[in-house]
Amino acid sequence: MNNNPLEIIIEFLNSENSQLRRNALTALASLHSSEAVKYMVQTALNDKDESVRTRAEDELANLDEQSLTMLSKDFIARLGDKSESLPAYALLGRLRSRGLQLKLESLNWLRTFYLEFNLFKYVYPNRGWKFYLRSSMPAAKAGLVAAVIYFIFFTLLHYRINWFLPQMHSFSSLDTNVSFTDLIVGAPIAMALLIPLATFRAMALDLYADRFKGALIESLWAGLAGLLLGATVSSGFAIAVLLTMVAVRMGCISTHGVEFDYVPKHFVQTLAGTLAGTLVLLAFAALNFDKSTGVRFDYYECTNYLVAFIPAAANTYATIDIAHANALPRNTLLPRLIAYGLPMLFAIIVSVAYFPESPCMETEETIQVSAAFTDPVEVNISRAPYCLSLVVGDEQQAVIIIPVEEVTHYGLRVLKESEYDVSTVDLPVEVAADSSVNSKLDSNSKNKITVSIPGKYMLIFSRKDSGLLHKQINSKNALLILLDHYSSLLRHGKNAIPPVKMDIAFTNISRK
Amino acid sequence: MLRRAIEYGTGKAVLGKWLELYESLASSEDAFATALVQLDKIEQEKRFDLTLGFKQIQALNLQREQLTDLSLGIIEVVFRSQLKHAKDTNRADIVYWSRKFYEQQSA
Repeated sequence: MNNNPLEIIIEFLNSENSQLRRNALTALASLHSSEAVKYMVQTALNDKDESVRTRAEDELANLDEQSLTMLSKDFIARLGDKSESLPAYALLGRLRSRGLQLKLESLNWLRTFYLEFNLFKYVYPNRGWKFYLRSSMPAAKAGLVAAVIYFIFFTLLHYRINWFLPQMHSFSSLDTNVSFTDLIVGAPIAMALLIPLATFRAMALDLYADRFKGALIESLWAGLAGLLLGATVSSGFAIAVLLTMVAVRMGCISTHGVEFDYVPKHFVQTLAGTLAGTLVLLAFAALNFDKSTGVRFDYYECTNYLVAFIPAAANTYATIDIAHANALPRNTLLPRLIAYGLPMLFAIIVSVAYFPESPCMETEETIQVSAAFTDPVEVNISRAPYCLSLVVGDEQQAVIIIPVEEVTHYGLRVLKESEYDVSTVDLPVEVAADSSVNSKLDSNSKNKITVSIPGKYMLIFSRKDSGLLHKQINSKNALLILLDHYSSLLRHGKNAIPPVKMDIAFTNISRK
Repeated sequence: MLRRAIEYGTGKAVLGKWLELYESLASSEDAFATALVQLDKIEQEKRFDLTLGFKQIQALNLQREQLTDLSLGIIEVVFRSQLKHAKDTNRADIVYWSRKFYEQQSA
C-alpha cells in the first residue's frame, strides 16, 4: 500500500494519457503542498498537450489561500532562474487574466519591466498566418462602420454649410463628389491589410502580470507602429500618428473592463480608443495648423484613411484585449468615468463648434459696378459669414481686393447668381463650374479676384475655417475643414475672434 | 471493451456485440453492491494496488454518502480508480476523493 497521495498522483501525471494527466492535476490542486504546486506549475509550463496545460492553469487559478502562498514562493524561485523566468512570467500573466492575484514583492521595477517587455513570444508561441492576420477582421469591420459614419458626418457637414449660405445658393450650388464607393469598399480592405501591420505586436492587456507596466509597453508599441506608418508620409505626420496611436491604445486600456448592455463587450473600449485618438489628432492638428508658425503638415492625401484607421486600430486593440478577459473584476469606477466622460467631452467639442454659428448675414444692399463706384465697402465678418450682392454691367469689370493682412484668416467666394461658383480667394481653385465664364484668379495675388462677365453675383466673405469657401466638399477636405475649424476654435476660443471690419476695395472698375 | 471498440472503430458487428454485453450488465444498485464486494475482497487480500471498474466507481459515487469507516487502503483504491476513470466532467468526484484521501492519510 502506498500511503503517499503525491506519489500516486505523479504516477498518473506521468501517464501518456492526457485525460489521466488532467485528472492528476485536479487531485494535485487539492493537496495543499508546495510539491504539488510545483508539479502543477511545471505541467502548466511544459506539458506537450494544450488541454493539460489549460487544465493546470485552471487549477492554479482556483487555488485556495493556503496554496497561493506556496504558489508565490514557487513563482519567485522560477522568476529568479534566467532559463525559466520568462515562461513563468508569461504564465503569471495568463493566470492573472483568469482572475488570480499574486503579490510578488521581491521583483524590482526594472526587472518587472524587462520581463513584461519580453513576454510576447512566450504568450504567443505559435504565430502563424492566423495570428498575424488576427486583426484583419476587426479592422475591416471597424473600417466599414467608420466609412459609413464618416459619410453621415460628411452629409451633415454639407447640410451645415448649406444652411449658412443664403437660401438661393444653398444645396444645389455645392458640388459634392465624395467618393462613397471608394470609402465603403476601400476603407475595409485597406484597414484589413494595414492594421495587422500596425498591431501585430499588440498583446492583451490582461496577459501582462503587471497591468500598469503592461499599459506602458502597449502604448510604446502602438506609438512605434504609428511612427513607422506615419513616416511613410512625412516626418511631421509620423509624430501625429505616433501620438494618435498612443492615445488610441491608452483609450482602449483605460476603459478595459467596462461593458454596456446590448452592445458587444469591446464596444466601450473601441469607442474610447477612437475618441481618444480623434481628440489627440484634432488637438495636434489645431497646433500645427497655426499658420502664424508657418508649419502645416501634409495630411491631405491621408485624410481618407485616417477616418477609418483610428476606429479600426481601436477595434483591433479592444478585440485583442477582450479575448483574454474572462475572470477579471468588471466595471470599476475610473474606467466607467472615462467611458462616459470621453463621449461627453467629444460631444461638447462638437456642439461648441457647431451650434452657436449663425447663418450668413445677407445685406439688402447691392453693389452696382460702375465707373463712379470707387469707395471701399465695409464688410463686417464675425463668426457669421457676410454676403453681398454684386451686379456687373455690360462692358464693366470688378476687381475685388481683400486687405492683405486679413487674407490669412478670411476669404471670399464668388457665385454667379444661383448657378455656380466663379472663384475664391486664396483657396485651391477647383474645376471651373463654367468655362464660358471669363473670370480669373490673378495668380500673382492671393487677395484679388477679377469679375468681368456681366451678371449678378453673390459674394460670400467668411472665415476660412467655416468651410463655406470650399466649392466642393469631398471626402478629403471635409475632415480638413473640420480640423481647421477646431484648430481655430482651440486657438482662439469661441468668442475670442473679434468681428473684423474689412474695407473691400472695388478698384479698377472701368470700361473694358 | 466497449470504449475501446468505439475508440478503435472496430465496425458495426463488434461494436454491437459489446453494446449488447454492456446493456446486460448489472444496474446501478447491482454495481454498487458489486463494488462493495470487490472492495471487501481487496481489503481482505490487501491488494490495494487494484482498481475498480468504471461502472463500479460510478455507482460508488452515486451513493458515496453511505460509505463510512473506509480504511485508508480502500480510500486509496477508490482514489486511484477515480483518477483512472474520471472524465473532465467528473472533476468534483476527483476533488471529493482526493480530500477524503488526504484527510484520512493525515489523520
